[in-house]
Amino acid sequence: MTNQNNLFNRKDVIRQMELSQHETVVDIDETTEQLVIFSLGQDWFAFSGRVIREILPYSAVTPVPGLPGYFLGIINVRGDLESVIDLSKPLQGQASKTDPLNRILLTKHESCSTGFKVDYVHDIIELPVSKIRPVSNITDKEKAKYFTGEFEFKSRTVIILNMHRLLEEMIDEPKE
Amino acid sequence: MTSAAAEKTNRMRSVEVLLFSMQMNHFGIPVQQIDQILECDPRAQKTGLQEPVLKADDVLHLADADDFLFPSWLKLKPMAESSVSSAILMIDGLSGIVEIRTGRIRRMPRLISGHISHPWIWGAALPEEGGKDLILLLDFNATAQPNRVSVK
Repeated sequence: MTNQNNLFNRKDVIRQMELSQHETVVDIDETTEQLVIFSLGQDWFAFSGRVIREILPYSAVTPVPGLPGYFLGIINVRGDLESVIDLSKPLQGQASKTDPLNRILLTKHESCSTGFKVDYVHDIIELPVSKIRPVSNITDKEKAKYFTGEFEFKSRTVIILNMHRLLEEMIDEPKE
Repeated sequence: MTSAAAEKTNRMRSVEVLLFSMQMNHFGIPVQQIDQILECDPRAQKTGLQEPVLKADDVLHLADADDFLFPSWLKLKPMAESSVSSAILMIDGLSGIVEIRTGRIRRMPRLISGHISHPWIWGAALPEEGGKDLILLLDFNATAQPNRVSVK
C-alpha cells in the first residue's frame, strides 16, 4: 500500500513537472531585444545590444582639459582614440568611484562613437519585447527622457536607456 | 634609397614636439611654434620682454596649480590669429624634444572635439611600443572652435 502511494506521488510529481515545463515554453516567434545589463551604484540599467560594440575592462583614461565634467577623457583602443563618459554624472548627478570591476561600454550610434564607464556589467540577455513595460516609478522627471522602458531581471527593476537621447543631450550641452 | 633620402622621408613622416607635463598630463607643442626656452623666470630677470607670462594651467583650462615644481618658460613665436600670440608660457616639467611618427598621431574623437572649450588641443599621439601614456598635442596657432557634431 505504501509502495502504491509512493508510485502515485511520483506520477503526480512527474505530471506537475510536465505542466510547469509547459508553462515556461516561449513562443519562438516573439521578437526579442538583446540587452546589456549593468549597474551604476544601486541602480540597474540596460543598453540595447545593437549600440554596444565592445565591453572593455576599465583602463586608465587620459583626461582632456576643457571638457564638461561628465567626460572622463580619452582612451587608446587598439590604435584608435575613443572618448569616455562617466554615465553616473548625467544619470545620478555624481561621479562614480573607480573599481577594478568597472567596465567601459564602447558604443556606436549614428555617427557618434563613445565609451561609457559603468560600475559593473551583470549580463547580456535576449528579452522578449512583451516583457518591457513603460517606466513606472519616475522620481526625477528631468531624467525620464533618457528612459525607454523597464523590465524585471533577477528580482530587480532594470531601466532601459535611450542612447540617442543621452548623446543628443551631451552634444547640445553648452561648453564650460 | 640613399641614406640622405631615407632620412628626409623619415623626417617627413614625423613631427618634432616639445614635451612637457602639467598635472599628470603629457602635452606636446610643435617646436616650430616655440621661439626659445627661457632658462629662468623672465619677470625676475627683468629681461625687458614685454610679452605677458601666461600660466599653462590657465591657458589649458586645467585646475589651478598652486605650485609649479619645475617651472620653465617657453617664448612662443608670434602667431597672427591666436589669442596667445607672442606670449611666454609658464609650464611645469619640461621633458625634452621628441620626434613623433605621424602614423601614431590621431585627431580627437568627434564627440570630444565638439566640446573642448578652447581650440588648442587637437589630437593625441599614441605611445610607442612599451609606453602607455597618450600625449595631448597642442597647436597654439589654432583659432577657430571646431565644429560640433550632431546626432541625426
